[in-house]
Amino acid sequence: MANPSDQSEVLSRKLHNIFRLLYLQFAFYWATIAAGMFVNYYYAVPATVTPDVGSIFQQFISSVPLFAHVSFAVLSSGMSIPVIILASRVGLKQVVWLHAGAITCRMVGFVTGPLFIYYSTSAVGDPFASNISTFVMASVFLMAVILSFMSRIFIVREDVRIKYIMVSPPSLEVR
Amino acid sequence: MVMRTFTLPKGEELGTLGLKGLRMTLSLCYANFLLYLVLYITGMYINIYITSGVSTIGIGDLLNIFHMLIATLNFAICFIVMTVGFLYGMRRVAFFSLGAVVSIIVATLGGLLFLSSGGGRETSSSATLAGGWIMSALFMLALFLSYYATLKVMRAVRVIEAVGGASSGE
Repeated sequence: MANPSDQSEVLSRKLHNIFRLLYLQFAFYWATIAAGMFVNYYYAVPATVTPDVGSIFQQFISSVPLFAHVSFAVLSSGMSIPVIILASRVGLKQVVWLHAGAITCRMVGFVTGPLFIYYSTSAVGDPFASNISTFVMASVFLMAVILSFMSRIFIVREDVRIKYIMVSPPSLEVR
Repeated sequence: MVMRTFTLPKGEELGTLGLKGLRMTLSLCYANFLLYLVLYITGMYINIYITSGVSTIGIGDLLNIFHMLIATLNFAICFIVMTVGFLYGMRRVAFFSLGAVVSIIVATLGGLLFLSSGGGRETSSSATLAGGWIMSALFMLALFLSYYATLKVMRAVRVIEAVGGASSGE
């Protein structure tokens, strides 16, 4: 069996990798909202967009702020995957669940985003449904940010625990 | 039997405030997050349901007054946390909070520009849109910076609790 201090060293290194990923994720979250707000203020769904999947997804490529918003949204959500993998390796179940929740929230956002464009097309033109879609998208984004924030609190707690209160195995077991 | 080994906190910013003071600061930070939440929700509501169409919002609108009041409280708490950081030797807390304070000031200026140049999106000038964007983006930046300051305070509390446990023979 490995020395407890070696094990805590390995754990600590893994936790610091999660910290780095979370820094990146929070940067992408900020970029998502910055680009999203650019879309909010400067983008209007063109009259040429038709309410079908092809035309809506074409918009994600043809509009630069929309493309940036979607790309950062995908990147920020994707950062949860390596965090989940690393957290499960060090046995931080709360972090795994919180990031699984964050990804689920973002999935809802990935549905309501295209729905916003769908309801804003001139053929459908339903401002009520369009507003609801936007509000849901904004709400689930906030929920994902909160869940990611909470995950970091658990990681800090664990980091302090292994650095200052080294409990003997098996609680420090590294998988 | 649980065996514990204790290490002196190297590279940690514990400050000179003490555990009780740090806990109070942490509570203040958590309260600030509630304010951020209310600001986000009211801001999004105004953005989606009031200023998205032909409607505009003025400085005297009740929801706007409420939003500004919450922003003022939010600013006050960030400023207190920043002051605590500077006065009690927590450099990172101070600088993260300073960043949040500056962001809130710039966001407020953006918000005022938004209100004074039209207060709506459809019937607006480029200054209105720029003001709105600055307000939203800087608000989010302030939220992230406050979060990092909170984490540093929380870490200091945890470390002091852990090391304190050693001296009391816990």
